[in-house]
Amino acid sequence: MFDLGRIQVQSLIVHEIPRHFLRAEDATSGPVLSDVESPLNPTVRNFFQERMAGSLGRAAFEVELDPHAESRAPSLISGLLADPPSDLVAASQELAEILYHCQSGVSPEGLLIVLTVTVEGRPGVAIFKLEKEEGTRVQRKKVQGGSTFSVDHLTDLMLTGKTRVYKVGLFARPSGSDEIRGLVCDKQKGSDTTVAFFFLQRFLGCCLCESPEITTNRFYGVALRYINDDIEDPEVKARYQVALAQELSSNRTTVSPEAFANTNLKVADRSRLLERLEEAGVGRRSFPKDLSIVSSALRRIQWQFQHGVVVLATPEQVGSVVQVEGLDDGRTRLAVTDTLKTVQGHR
Amino acid sequence: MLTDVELEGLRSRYVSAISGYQEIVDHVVDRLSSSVAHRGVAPAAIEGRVKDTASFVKKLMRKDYPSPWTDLRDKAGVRVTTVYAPDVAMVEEVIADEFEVLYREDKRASLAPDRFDYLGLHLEIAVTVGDGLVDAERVCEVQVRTGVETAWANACHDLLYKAPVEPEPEIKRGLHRLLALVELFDLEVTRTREAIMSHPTYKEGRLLLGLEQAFLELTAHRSDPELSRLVIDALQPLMSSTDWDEYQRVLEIFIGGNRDKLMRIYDDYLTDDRNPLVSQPESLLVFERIEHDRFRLTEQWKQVLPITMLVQMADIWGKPISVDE
Repeated sequence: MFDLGRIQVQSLIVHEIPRHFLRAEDATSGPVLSDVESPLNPTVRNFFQERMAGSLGRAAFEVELDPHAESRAPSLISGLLADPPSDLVAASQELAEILYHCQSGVSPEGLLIVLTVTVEGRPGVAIFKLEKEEGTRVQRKKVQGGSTFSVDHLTDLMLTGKTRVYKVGLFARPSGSDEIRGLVCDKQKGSDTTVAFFFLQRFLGCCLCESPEITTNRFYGVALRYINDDIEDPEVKARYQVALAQELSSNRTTVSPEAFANTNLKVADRSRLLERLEEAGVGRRSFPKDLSIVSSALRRIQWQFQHGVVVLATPEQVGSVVQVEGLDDGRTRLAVTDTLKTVQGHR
Repeated sequence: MLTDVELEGLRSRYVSAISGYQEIVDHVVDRLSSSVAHRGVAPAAIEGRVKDTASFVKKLMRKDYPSPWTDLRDKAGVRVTTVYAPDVAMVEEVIADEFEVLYREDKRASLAPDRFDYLGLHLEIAVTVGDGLVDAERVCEVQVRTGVETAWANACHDLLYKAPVEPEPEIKRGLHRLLALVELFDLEVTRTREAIMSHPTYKEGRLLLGLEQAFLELTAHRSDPELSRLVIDALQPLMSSTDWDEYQRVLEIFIGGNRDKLMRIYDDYLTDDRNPLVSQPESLLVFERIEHDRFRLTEQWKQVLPITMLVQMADIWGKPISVDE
């Protein structure tokens, strides 16, 4: 959709979003708003560009603005992308208020950063929601006439190289389109979650471009076709088929085609699978998993042989009860070792 | 022997046909310029000429051709001058691929072992252009020789064969003695070149030179040669089976298609030194491999270099890589 290597930050503004306690006695007075844009230097600009590309390139979902959303965020985003664009300070302040009010007390305090960008030369808007972090800074100093390192504890860091908890959305009009499209990512260490409901829908007022069950089905179809058509070695073919079934049957709520390829395919096979997925419009970024359409196909793997022999097995049985071996003459040997239950005629 | 009337007739005919022969020369020079370069040969020069009218008439006077118009074959001539002697054979292959070769004379092959004389490859090719000419007239002579052979020919050929007075044998011998030096020069250059190219680090050195050339056309970053050698040495296994000329074409296409993006990146990072690799010529190689062969690049990189550097390069390029955390 977007070339993430062609994002250029033009301006940014930061607002502080305190924890929003619902009980009156715990309530804070609301976001701490900035009145002017933050100073921007090349290093800061590059840093945000890298973080956006890194997050959105790995694990973002394609989204669109929901015309029926309760949130005012879609109209604010549209305003920032209009010609002439609306004022960044005012629009971002309103976004901060929206975020504050749609969070509950369990959401930690954090920061809202709104950036105006260009994406492939076209206007764009990026929105970060993240938490402040703590760390220590070490600086060489002279103390009592001697050299030493001073250690300072900092509590106002954000988006460090180790940051694992943040949400980011990027909105622009893709080349040749009048519609605003977005990429939204919710990067959370240790969990494999779809974008938190409140961030994507309640705050940003967006919805996914394609329903997850369709994307999942398309991914499964393209990957299976690739394995069947492009992988010649029957043992490797079987291994990949099992890996595909296991990937979709896992308790992860998202599928990352790139991570799947990285984990399960030989190096020489990875690029081609991702190329097939790109050609089919599935792409390499993560998508929410929904097995509504494909679940029945995942229960068992079927081998169909030239002379009519058919073998069915679950993915877990491959490699144990069922052994697959490729022969030098191009044929495949399937060995089933199990206790025979019944033999019967079958039409 | 031709009469003056016959000579004048031929002269007039030639003057009328010159534009057609010029078309032949231009066509052959164009075709060979791109084909030879595409084959990876860098000739010193490809030049063409239509024989001038005076030379045409003089040659007719000097030679007793049975059929003067058709027997005088070098009306259109092209010369390919190569830098290295082995390139002569490569250029001949290109010519044979591009044109029908009607005649071939290799002076080397016909020379006795104990003689030194002019060396060069002469070909006659058929062409399909030449306004106003019939098919039999659409021919072009192509000479292929090395630079030093051309230097000798330029200096000595006319002295030996076209001087107003016949040189004394001792003077002729002196000029022919130079041909021994010509052969020695080409032989030593070829031998030295082969020795250099077979050096273990030649391929990496050539790759770096090419990358520097391309890099400095996009930005004026000063780079660290030691870091370049370290990175290229680390990534060398990725390129071991790749012909440098072939990869150079891949790189040219990549740079051509991403020139604006590359220049913008280098401009953005002019004062940002968080990743030293961005200001290095080998960043072009890294970006190109991220685009086209990211998985093999990642696997190779992990073995020898800090992966955080590659992760950042991939983020900068907009094609992040996944690594185990």
